[in-house]
Amino acid sequence: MFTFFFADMKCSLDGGNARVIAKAIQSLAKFGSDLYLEADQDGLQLRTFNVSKSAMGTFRFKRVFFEHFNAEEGSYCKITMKAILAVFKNMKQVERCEIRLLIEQSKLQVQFKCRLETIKNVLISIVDEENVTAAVSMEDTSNVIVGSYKLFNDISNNFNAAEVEMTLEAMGNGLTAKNYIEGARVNDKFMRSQLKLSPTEFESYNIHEESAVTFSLKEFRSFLLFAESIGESITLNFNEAGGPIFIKICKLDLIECTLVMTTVYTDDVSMYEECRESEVKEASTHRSFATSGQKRKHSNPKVIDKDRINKKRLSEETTLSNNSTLFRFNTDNNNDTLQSVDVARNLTQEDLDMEDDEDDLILAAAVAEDNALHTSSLPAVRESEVFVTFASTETNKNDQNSDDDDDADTIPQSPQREHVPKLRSIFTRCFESTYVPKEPSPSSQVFVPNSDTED
Amino acid sequence: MQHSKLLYEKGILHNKKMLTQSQYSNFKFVARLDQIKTFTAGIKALLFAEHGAFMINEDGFTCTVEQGKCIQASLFMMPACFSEFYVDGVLHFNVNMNVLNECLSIFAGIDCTMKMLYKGPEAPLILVLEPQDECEISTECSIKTTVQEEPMEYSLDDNSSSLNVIFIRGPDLSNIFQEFDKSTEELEITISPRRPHFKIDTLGVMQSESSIEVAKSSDMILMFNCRETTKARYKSSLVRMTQKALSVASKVAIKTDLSGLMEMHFMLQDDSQAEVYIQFFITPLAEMD
Repeated sequence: MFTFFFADMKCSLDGGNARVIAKAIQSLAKFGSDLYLEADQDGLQLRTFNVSKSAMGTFRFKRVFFEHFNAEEGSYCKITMKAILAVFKNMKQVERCEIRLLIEQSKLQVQFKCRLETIKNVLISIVDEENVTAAVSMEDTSNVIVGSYKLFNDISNNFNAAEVEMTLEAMGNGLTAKNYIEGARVNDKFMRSQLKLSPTEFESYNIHEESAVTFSLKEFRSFLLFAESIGESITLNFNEAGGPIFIKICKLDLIECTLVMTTVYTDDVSMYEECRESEVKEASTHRSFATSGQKRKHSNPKVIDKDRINKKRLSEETTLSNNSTLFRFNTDNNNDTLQSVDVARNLTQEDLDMEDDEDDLILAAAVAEDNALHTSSLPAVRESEVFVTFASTETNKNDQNSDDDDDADTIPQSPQREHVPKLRSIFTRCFESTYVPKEPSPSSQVFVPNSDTED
Repeated sequence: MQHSKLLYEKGILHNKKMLTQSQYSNFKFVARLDQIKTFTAGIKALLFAEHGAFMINEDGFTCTVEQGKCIQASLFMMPACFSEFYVDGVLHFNVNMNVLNECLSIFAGIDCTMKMLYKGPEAPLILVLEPQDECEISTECSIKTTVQEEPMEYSLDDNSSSLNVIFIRGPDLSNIFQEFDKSTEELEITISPRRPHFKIDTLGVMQSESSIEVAKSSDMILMFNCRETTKARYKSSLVRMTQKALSVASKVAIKTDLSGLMEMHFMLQDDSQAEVYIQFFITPLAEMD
């Protein structure tokens, strides 16, 4: 009746701890569709990515968390989240839990011993023998904030449930949580809200480098849920905008959870001209880089210059972030290697030029390969690498060609673009990559000048 | 009813509800239920088919529904369940189940007393419903009946050596059934004298196979009578038809033998201690060897 298979990994735990694992899986399932399971001498690790691979959640359960733990060095597998979630959905009756990894049969076995002498046994097919790691480290983050889950819950609840992103402005004298990026273009009906918190609210508040980071709320909320279920506080580690943010939850020496997310790179955000910080000072140093007709925004949060003259964006090529590649996958099958965008299209150079401004580079690798993009040549992407960047959902769309008052005084005259349609797009259109802006578009013709004095 | 009302008005009858001998002679079947809650729950459990075959004799009241030749369900009520039960001979007639259900829920779930009246072939089935709290209101429903062939008869050989019988607590079995993946196509039910004593495997779910076993010593198993191992597969859509009956059952009996035909009895909780149960016959899937 019973066949005993050699298990590459075998662990057992009591009902209470099994419920914690269930919570962890439920939390990961909120944003990931596959679960990477890894077991080594130290314990069990569950990991997942969101669809755009801009966030990675990791739960590490240490050896002592289990009653028994036996693992071959480096046993790992990939299973679908749907299958495992169904197993860990109803945990009320569970008294003991056993998890076995049977690589030979390519199955993951989960066995629950439940109340009333009932045994539930589930075999889940392993989709792939695959493991992933992220080449990011928390070591060199300068800003560390620790706060109770209640506090972060309050912050998250302060915003509408439909809100996608949250900006945290960490200043020496306090933290401001906002649902918008300072100066970024938003929908007319958008309601801005912010929450100011003093450092005393936190368990620990260490800001060495004042910065404002914008990150996705969905993944953050799913981790909050887990923090709440185990009643532990949350640690945030981050540097400047565009760099990764680390969200950590630890329970004694038993559980260690990390959520790594990309943050919005400010250059990818469409800004209102008035709010945009000056480029002139930067510009002078990079003058020699000004090339052809491309315009790139550059903003440095530290420098504030409200001079109206600087309505020109300058080509800026030296500040391209190397933070933008977050994760490096040592996957074997790299068909999903994300390549950047649109060179393969049958467009004239003129079209390309125009689109440089309009491309909402939803696709990965955007920032790192900016240069290449503009010159219509892609660098060879290493086969074994997948670059991951945060998806920018906004465009650089505030080209103010019309008023070239006296900008020639301060910056070199860069070649003018002819009539670029005044398109303003907030979210990427799905047809963006094939869109030819010359086609008639409802917003391409201005019948009445803009009466908004601010714009 | 008119009749007794007239007599009441004339002062001959003191209780309007009392039936006279003349009325009994007019009707082939008269029955009264003080509470229709259990009856309604039983009828709701049989709603998967359009027509219900009623069979009434001195042993009680039976309503049977069928779907194809795969599943048959019957609601049984002993004469003791009724506060008044009169039947003349054996009666067979068919009633539309949805119509019957709608009539029973006409007072939106408020418990009522009900009187059933049937005059004989081609006459309608008359239901008189009165909410318990409000004597002012009553409704009289007349449901058309048809005569159709009698339902198939399934039976398990009680003397067979392979007849396995298990009694399980209803709510616990309901929990087990609810945990099955909705996308599962087939269920394999194993009953065995050795471990696993009672096991259900779900088959046909993508990327996952699961099973659930219950030891015979478990508190949820009230009786375990098994000599030979039986194993059969059933379409999960058929098993799921028992869900409504299961959700109201206090006890469930599962009977099966080597043929694989499964008989399930769902005992409905009734305050009056009288037996009300729903019986299901589910045919197995053909063995594929």
